[in-house]
Amino acid sequence: MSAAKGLPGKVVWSLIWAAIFLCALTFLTVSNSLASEPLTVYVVSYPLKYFAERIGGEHVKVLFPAPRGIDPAFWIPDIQTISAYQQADLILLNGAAYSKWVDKVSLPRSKVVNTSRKFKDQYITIEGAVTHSHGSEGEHAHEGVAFTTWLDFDLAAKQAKAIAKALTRKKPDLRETLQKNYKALERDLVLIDKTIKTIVSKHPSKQLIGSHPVYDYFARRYGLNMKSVHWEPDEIPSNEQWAELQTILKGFPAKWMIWEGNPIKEPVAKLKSIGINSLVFDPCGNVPDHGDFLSVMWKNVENLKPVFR
Amino acid sequence: MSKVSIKILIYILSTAFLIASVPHSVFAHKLSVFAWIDGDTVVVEGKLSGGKRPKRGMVYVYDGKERLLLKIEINPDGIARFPLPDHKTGLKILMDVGEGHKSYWILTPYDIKCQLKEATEKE
Repeated sequence: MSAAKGLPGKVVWSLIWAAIFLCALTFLTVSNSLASEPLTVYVVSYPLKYFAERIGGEHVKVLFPAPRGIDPAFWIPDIQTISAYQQADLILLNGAAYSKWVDKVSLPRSKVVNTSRKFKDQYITIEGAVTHSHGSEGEHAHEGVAFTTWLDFDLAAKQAKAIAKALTRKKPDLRETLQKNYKALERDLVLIDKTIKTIVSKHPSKQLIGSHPVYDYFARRYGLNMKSVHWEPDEIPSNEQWAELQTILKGFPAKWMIWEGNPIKEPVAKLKSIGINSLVFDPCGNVPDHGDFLSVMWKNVENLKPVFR
Repeated sequence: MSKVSIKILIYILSTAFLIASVPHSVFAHKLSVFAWIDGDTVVVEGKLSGGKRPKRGMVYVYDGKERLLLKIEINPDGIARFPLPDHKTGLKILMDVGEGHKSYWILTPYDIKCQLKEATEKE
């Protein structure tokens, strides 16, 4: 203070103002750099990852830690991964009883967004659930609520809208960009929706067999006449499974089976021998081997065309 | 009392007896488990659908590497308590109340850290 005592008052005040200015500048720089940092978003399915990345672009870092090749609906993350979910900026859930592990942990409420909450009243309840197992996920049951909501592309657009809203809440200064990106995604989803409607409208009563009970929302939206069995594309169906199919076919003579993934040769050949063709309509719950959500869905649409010709 | 009335009475009584003799667990479809930290203790609570508490059952505590750390019986209120064990990898707390009714709750290291911090701040 003795040095300051020797300085004229004007100089002291200039120094104080300079210090305040520097502090304010530092604060603004830090806040700006924080605001421009991408949001860390954890998701529970690939469609949500695709939607969040399309909408958020460079402003989001979307993480989907489920291993490839498994059905994320039945995946249970390890504790370390759950910790990572808890510390994200945003956690996007599919809702409709997808990823049941979320009911076994505490996820911060302020970060969680159930993207299907707005259309909760449109959830489909599954009756007569069957427990079965496949792959490394172990035994599971398709019971309670059907979860493949995004195969109704109108609902998919609603889920995308929920994501856009959540991202905007976190990054209000990016409202315009996020809205523009969401609108572009919505246009893509609406186009798929309209195309499927047009295809199906040619023969809406065509009977179809779903190889797995994952097409409930898809069938409802597009008015498909479908019954499902519980077959896996990479497994040879058991005698009981064939008998179940034969029973269905007695009152429901379908000529097409829709598979979730490319089926192995044996069941395809056997189905062909009884007059049933096979096609793939991949729900794309996990990251695809090739392309992205949109390209997989357009491939699905192409695969669907021969059925309704 | 006429013969018909007696028959109806027997029918009603036997139906009531049959319903009463069905094990309670048949009606209890779902078990929910919740666990939290209270001081240096972990409290585990089980609830059956309908809000009833399981009266019997076991709680198995695993670490984040699925190693069994301890097992403990639940009390008649459907609650179990145990001292907070080593929790570096988190805890998976499984409750088994029999007849296939099992459920679990996960406490991550992050949960435990937050809950311990919250408790310290309250003090």
